Amino acid sequence: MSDIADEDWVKLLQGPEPERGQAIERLRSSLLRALSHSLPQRYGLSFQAEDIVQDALLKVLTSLDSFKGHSRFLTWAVVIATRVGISAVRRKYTKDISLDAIQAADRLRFERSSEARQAADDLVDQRQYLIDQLNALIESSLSDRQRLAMRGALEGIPVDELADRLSSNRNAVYKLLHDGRLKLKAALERQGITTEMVQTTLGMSPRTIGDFR
Amino acid sequence: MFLTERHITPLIQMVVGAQPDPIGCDDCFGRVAEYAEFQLANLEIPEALQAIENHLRQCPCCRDEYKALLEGLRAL
Ligand SMILES: [Zn+2]
Repeated sequence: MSDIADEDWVKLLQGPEPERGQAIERLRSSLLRALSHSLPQRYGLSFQAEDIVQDALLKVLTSLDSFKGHSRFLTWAVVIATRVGISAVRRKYTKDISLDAIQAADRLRFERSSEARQAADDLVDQRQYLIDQLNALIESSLSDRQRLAMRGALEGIPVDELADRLSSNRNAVYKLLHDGRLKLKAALERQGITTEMVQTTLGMSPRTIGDFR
Repeated sequence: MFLTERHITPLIQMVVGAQPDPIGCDDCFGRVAEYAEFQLANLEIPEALQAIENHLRQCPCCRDEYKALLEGLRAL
C-alpha cells in the first residue's frame, strides 16, 4: 500500500517542509491511482480521475483532524476521496435531469396503463388493482416532502443530489425516503398485499425484490 | 406529474425491500473504512459493523460509493 507508516502520515502532512510536500505528493499519487480505478464508467459516464484528484486531496488534507486511526490512513483517505469523486460524477450525471420533474411532484400517482401488457386478463386486473392500491397508499401515508423525495429517487437522482435540490442534507433526505419506504411497506402489508402477490402480479423474480436498483 | 409504467418496478423494489435501518449515511461514512478493511481481508464482519452492512443494503447512494471504494482500494 505505502511505505509510510499509518501513525506517521498525519505528522508528515502537518509537519515541516520538505517532508510535508513529499508526503502530499505520495498521497496525491495514491488517491489518483485509486480514483483512476473507481471513477471511470460510473453511471455510464466517462470521467477522468485527474479532473477531481486535486479537490479530493484538498478535502483529505482539511479533514486530517477527523482521522482517529480506526482504519489504515490510506483507507480512510480513499473513503473521503471516493465521496468527492462520486459526487462530481453524480453532478455530471444528474445535471440534465430537470428540477421541474421533481418539484411538480405534489402528486405521485401512476397513470392507468393504456399499454396493458400481453398478459391474461386477470393478471392485468390484478396489476391495475395493485397500482390503484399503491396510489391510494402514497396519497394517504406519505408527507408531501416524502412524495417529493421518492419521486426524485425514482427519477434516478441520488440522495446527495436530491438533498442539494431540497436544501437539506443527505442524512435527512435518506431518513425521509427510508421512513417513506417503511410506511408504504407496512401499509401494503396491512392491506394484505404480500411480497409473493407483488412478485406474481408484476412478474418479478424473487431475487430482484430487496435489491433496490 | 404522474408516474408511468417504467417507475413501477423500482418503486415496488424500494418499498418491499425496505428494512429497519438504525443508522444513516453519516454514520456509515464514518465507519465504512473499517468495514471495507474487514471485507477486503475476508474477515468476518464484527457485530459492531453489521449496522454498516445493513445500511449499505438499504441505501443505494452509499452502496454505489462503497463499490467504488472497494475498486479504488484494490488498486493500491
Ligand atoms: Zn447512505
